[in-house]
Amino acid sequence: MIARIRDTIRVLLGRSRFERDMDEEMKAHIAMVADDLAARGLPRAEAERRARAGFGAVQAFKEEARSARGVHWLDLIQADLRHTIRALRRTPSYTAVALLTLALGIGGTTVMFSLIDGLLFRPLPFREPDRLVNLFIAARESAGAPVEPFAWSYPKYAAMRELATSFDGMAGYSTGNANLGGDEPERLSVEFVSGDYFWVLGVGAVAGRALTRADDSIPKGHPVAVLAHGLWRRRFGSDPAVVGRSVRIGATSFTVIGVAPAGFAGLSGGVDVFLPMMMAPVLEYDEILTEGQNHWFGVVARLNRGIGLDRARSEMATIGRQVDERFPRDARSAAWSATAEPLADIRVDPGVSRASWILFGATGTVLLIGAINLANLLLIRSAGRRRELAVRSAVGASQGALVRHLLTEGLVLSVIGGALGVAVAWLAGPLIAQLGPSGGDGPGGTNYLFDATGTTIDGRVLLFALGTSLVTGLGTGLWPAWRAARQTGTGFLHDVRVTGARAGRFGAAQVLVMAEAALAVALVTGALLLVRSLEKLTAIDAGFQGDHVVTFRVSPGTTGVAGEDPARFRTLALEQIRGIPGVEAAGTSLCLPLQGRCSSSVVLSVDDRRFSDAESRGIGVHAVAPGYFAALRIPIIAGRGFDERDRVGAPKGVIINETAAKRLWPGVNPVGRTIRVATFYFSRADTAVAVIGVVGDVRYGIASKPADLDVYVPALQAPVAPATFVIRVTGDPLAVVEAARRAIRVVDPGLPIFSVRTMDEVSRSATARHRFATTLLGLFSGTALMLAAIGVYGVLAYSVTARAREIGIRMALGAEPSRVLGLVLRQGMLPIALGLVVGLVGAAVASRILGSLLYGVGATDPVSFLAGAGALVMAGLLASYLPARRATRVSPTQVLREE
Amino acid sequence: MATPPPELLQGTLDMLILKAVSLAPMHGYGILLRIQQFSRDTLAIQQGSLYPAVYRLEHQGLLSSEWGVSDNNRRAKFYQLTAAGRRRLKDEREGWIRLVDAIGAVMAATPADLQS
Repeated sequence: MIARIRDTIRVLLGRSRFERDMDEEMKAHIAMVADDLAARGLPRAEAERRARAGFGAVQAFKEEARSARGVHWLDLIQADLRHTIRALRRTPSYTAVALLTLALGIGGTTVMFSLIDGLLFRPLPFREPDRLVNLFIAARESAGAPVEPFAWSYPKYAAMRELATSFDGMAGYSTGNANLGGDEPERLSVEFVSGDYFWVLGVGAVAGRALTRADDSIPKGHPVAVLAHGLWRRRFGSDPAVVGRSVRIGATSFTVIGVAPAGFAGLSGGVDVFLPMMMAPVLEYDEILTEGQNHWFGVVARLNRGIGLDRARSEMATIGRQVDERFPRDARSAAWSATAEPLADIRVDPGVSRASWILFGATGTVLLIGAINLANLLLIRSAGRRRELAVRSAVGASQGALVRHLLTEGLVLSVIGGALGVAVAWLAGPLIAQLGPSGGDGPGGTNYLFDATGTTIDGRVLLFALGTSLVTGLGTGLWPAWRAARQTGTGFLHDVRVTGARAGRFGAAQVLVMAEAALAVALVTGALLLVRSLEKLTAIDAGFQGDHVVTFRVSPGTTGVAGEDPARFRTLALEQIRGIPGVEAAGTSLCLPLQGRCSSSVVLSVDDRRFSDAESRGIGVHAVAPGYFAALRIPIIAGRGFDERDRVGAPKGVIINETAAKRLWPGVNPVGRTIRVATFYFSRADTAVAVIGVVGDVRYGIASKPADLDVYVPALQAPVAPATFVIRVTGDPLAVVEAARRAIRVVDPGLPIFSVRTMDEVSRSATARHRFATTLLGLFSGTALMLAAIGVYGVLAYSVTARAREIGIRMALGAEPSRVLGLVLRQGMLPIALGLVVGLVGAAVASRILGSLLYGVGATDPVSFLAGAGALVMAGLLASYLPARRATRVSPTQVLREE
Repeated sequence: MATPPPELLQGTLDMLILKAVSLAPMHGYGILLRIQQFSRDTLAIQQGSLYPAVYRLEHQGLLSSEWGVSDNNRRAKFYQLTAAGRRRLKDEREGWIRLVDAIGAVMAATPADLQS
């Protein structure tokens, strides 16, 4: 084996010398023969001719000699490569078009592959990730409702952990937020985790140590913290000496015991610091670990070796029912159980993965069009080079050599194109990651793990790019090679000119153009469907006006003015903010429109009618401070909005939205009626409060879904600390941010503001996924259209060159330039028209997969289809016109003289 | 009409090349001339076909080569036998003589030979 490798290397090194020597030796031989013949009296030229004839087919002997020498395929490849590169350099524009085509196709496919690989295929970065599962409570919200995954309460988790036997270990985790103290207060994303968390996942520490079970045994007893890598770098300059130091989180001093590795931001994603779950009562509230029915954290567990998922599920089902027995619930409509799901199943939002697959398909189509273009170019080139090939064939190059040569050309182009494609992917990857939607809420108190910013070009992606390039190269090279092989029969030398009839008929090249046109129009139509959906989504009136509005959040702990007296904090802060020049109105809420509801409060009854569980869960409850409706210009339809009268001690009143008014009191003025709302921060289940006003509907969930029932309670009477400020200004909304930050500091010096966004940004983020899919599909379909146009152009331009004689004769016989123009245009547009029909039919079938990405347009929206067809026709006409115009400039005299 | 030159038996070209080169280092054209001369113009070898055979022999280590200058002052590659080439030539010659004897004996057989 080693000897063979050595031999191969030796041959590789000696190869070019061998070729040179062989060439020189054969020339010397012929020269010597000619010398002898000349010495016998033949004229020199005749002597040389005879000497060459006597020698025989040089190419054939050379090839035989190469194979006689052994390891010949390497020599052949090198010779082919050299020949190909020479040929490509001779035709730079052809080469550039081919490479650009491939770079775009392979680059796009590679980017989308890296995204999908990160989303779905790459193993999770944990020890033996196949053994990791998420445990859920499996519950129905009411009788007859579907079983849904729920998070755990601490007592239920503890009971379940006692009983379970299928697992090596398990750990709870939940997100929270806390303020990091210091000169620059900062809002931190906290993950409360059980002591076994790091051990269960198999994640270590890069400095210090990870949390252990001993760090999480006594409630409020372990003020220790593990920093995430990002915070460590950002805030502590990656200083290993941070271990052992103390940091102030909320009102408590925590000792840093370690730093988590880069790339691990917790199962919640985006975590800054890991704290023991036993410290949750300190940062959240006292009872959090003892409430049986407060389901607030997810559980990850590691299956025992040899225990299958089914076994674990059946055990969890049994244990889940036993645990449910122990914890009384209000409404026992059906027994709650528990279940296990592989951790990998919650890595990505199904909607995101669907969109990514669609986009991957789109890039694949672009690549296919690119490959067709390339095949076409090779085909044309090989036809144009038939004389050369015929000559090569006649001087002894075997048929195999010709096929090999064309294949080499396809491969060389696609490998170089692939390398360029990787560069494209490398440049475009971060842009796409920016556009891409990240994590987000998953099922049952978990988060989707995927974060698009994690996409990278690594070995797997490079391998994919290489594989794609090779397949493309073989695919594009094989067909022209096969055709060339078929055509190098005898008699070929006699008829190497492409005749007009032959170039003009509907041949292989036209079929390829038709396929390109079909694929391109299908993609463009799909993209247009998305564009129209996005347009409609953006045009939705969500019930508020977001222009000139800036928002930010504060989330006080239990200390400071904001923590101790939230109502007073709001009043003072809003007073300060309203004093800033340019501020028109300011208020607060808990959550913003279009961000999903954030209230889990329950409305129990209106007047004397009691609600069922299901009815009341559908109602959103929002604590808002005076000025909120004005800041977002939400109209007050009846009664009044909140004002300074709605403060602590005053009679409580609520405001409802229009839909609630219509549904709860059909045909009746609801102002003055009563409602009972169970929110721990506002009122108790037994207290009826009056409806004091009705406001317009606002879409709090997704933009495409009409408003549900909403109840607004006055924030000044609801002592809940976190708040989102909403400020309307006359000018640039971001210009007041600094003044607002100072205003908050005046009231509560230690309180950071975070999530500063204009309301327009908030609205845009609500359509982020649509925007992502639309932008990329638009980009890809534009590329596809361009490539198809290049394809048409290439085929026609060649055809015009090949038919120059015919065109010249026609013009000599009196054909008008306009007729010639029409002739060529028809030839170009025929495959386009056929492709258009095929493509639109295909699009009508395929557009259904866009599914939920469509809004307000049908999958066969005629406007999109017409516009798509129009775009293709325009591109086709443009691509046909240029060669057609050139055809009209053919000079009949010159063509005929060449005859 | 002259009889056409006899077809070379498969493999005999290698032997002829080895023999021609064994007398003195020689370039490709020289090898052809020598074979033609020794065979009294009976054997005509297609000129180009010499080279694949020569390269094969060189690759097998039976010939070695170096560049030199020919009689009429042209740069040419000269071949000579290696030790292995010499051994191979000896084996081939013995094999060939046995073969020719055997074939000759067969072809010289007369009815009288049937008796024994």
